[in-house]
Amino acid sequence: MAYTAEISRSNPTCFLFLVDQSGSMAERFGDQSGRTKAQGVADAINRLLQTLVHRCSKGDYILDRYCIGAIGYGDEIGLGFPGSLAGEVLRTVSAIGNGPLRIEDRVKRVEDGAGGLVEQRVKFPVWFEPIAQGKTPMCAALQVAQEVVSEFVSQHPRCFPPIVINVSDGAATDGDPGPMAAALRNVASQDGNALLFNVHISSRGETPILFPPDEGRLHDEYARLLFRMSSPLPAEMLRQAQVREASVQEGARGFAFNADLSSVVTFLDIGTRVDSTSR
Amino acid sequence: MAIGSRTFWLARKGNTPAEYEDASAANEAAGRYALADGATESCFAGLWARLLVEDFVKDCDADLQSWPDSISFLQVLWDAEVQSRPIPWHAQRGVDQGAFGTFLGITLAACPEGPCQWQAVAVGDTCLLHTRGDALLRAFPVECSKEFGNAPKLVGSRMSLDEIRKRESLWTDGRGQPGDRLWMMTDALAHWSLVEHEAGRNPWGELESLLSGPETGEHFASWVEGLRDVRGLRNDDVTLLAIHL
Repeated sequence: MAYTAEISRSNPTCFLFLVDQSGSMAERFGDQSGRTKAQGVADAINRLLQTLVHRCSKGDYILDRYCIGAIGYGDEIGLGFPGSLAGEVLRTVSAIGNGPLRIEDRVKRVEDGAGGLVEQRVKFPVWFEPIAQGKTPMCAALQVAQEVVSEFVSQHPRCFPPIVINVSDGAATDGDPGPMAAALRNVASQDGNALLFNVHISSRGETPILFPPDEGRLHDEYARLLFRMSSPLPAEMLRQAQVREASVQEGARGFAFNADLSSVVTFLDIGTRVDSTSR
Repeated sequence: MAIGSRTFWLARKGNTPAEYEDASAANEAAGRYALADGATESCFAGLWARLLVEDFVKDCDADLQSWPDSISFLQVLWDAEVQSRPIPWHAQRGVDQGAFGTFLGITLAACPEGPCQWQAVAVGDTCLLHTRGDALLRAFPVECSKEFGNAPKLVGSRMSLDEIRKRESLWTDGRGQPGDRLWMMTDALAHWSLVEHEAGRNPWGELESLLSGPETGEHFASWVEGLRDVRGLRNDDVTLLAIHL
C-alpha cells in the first residue's frame, strides 16, 4: 500500500519548500494582520520548519527523520537556506533545528481554561526573512525541485515519498507551472509519488480555506491554478486531517488559501502519537 | 516454585542504544516486574519510562489499584532532572507538555508448591502474554492484533493524578502453574506475536528458544533483525521481559 513507508533515521523522508520571493509579495496580505505577503510567506515557512523540528526533538537532541530543503524564487533561483545552513539544498532536520538565523521572542494568545485568552511568550525561530524582489519563476523552481527530489529518491528508494510545499501568490511569470508540477508529482519512490502541496498567500481578504476537495470556494484564478497543481491527501493523511477537522472531505487536496498548512506535517506517522486522543 | 526472569532489548534500527526509550525492571525477590515504552513524539520519554519501571519494582504495595498514587513523586523527579539540563528552543514545548509512555506492571505471589497468583496493571499497549506450552492463556491489555494503533493510552509526566486514574488503566489477575511463561513485551513485538498466533503459527516456541539461547544480546538482536527484515516486525524499540514460573 502506498504512503505507508516507515519514517525514521534509517529511512528518512524529504520536505522541500519552494518560497516565492517575487516583487508581488510586497503587497498587503489579505489576513487583516497588516503584514505583507512576503511576511506571510516567511511566517508560514518558519512555522512549518518549527513544527518539523518539534516533531523530531527528543529533548536534548533532534532525531534525523527528515531532510529539509528550500528553493527561493524571485530575482533568481536561490538554493538552500541562508546563514550557517547555506551551501547545500537539503539539510538534516537536526542541522535545521540547530541553525536558525535567530530566535525571536513573540507573544501568542492562548486559551486560559476559563473561556478567555492570555498572552504567552514563545520562542519563534527564524530561518527565512521576508524578501520581495523580481519576477516569479515558479516553473524554473518546480524544475529544480524535481531534480532535487529525484536525487533524494534515488538515494532513498524505499522512503515515504518526498513532500514539496510551494508557498506563493501564484502568479508565475515564466509560463504555465501546471506541466512542471505534474512532472514533479511523477517522481516516485517505491512507496508512492512525490506530493506537491501549495499554500496560496493572497491579498484577498476572504475566509481562509484548508484542504478543499474542489475549486468551488476558490474565487481567485491563481488559487485555482495552485489547487489544480496540488496532490490529493493520501489516505492516512486524510484520516488525520478529518480527526482534526471533521469538515475535511474525501478528495481533499494539500492546498491552503491564506491558511496555516503546518498541521500537514503532523499527519505523518513517526511512531506513538501524543495527541488529544491518547492524553 | 522457582521463578526466574530474563530481559532482552534492542533499539529501533537506525537509532543508537542511547536513544532507546523503552525501560524494564525486575525485582525477583519482591516478585515485581515492569515495562514501559516512552512515546516517540515526546521529549525525555526514555527518562520517564525508566522512572516508571524503577519505582514500580521498588514499591511494596500489594494493592495495584493504588499504583498511580506514587506517580506524583515521579513527576517531580522527572521535572527536576529535565530542568537541571540546558533546554534548547526545540525542546521547550515538549518539556512544557511533559513526557508520555505506556506502562505494564506485574506482581507475583509465589506459593511454595503449586500455582502462583499474578496481578497486572497496564496503561496503553505494552502487553502481558501468559502461555502454557504452545497455548496462549491470556493477552492483556491488548487482546488481538487489530487493537494496536499509533495512539495508545499514555501516562504523562505532567498529567494530574485524576487524569491518570481516568486513563483507562486496566487491572487483571490470573494463576500460573510451574512451567508457564509470562511474556511482557512492548508493542511491536506484542503485535507480531499476536499476528503469528492468530495465523495459527507458534511464536511462543520461538520466544522459548530465546530463553535457552546464549546470555548475550546478540542472539536476540539477530532474531529481531530477521523479523524486521522479512517477517513484518515494525521497526521500533523492542523489549521482552520473560518470566518463567
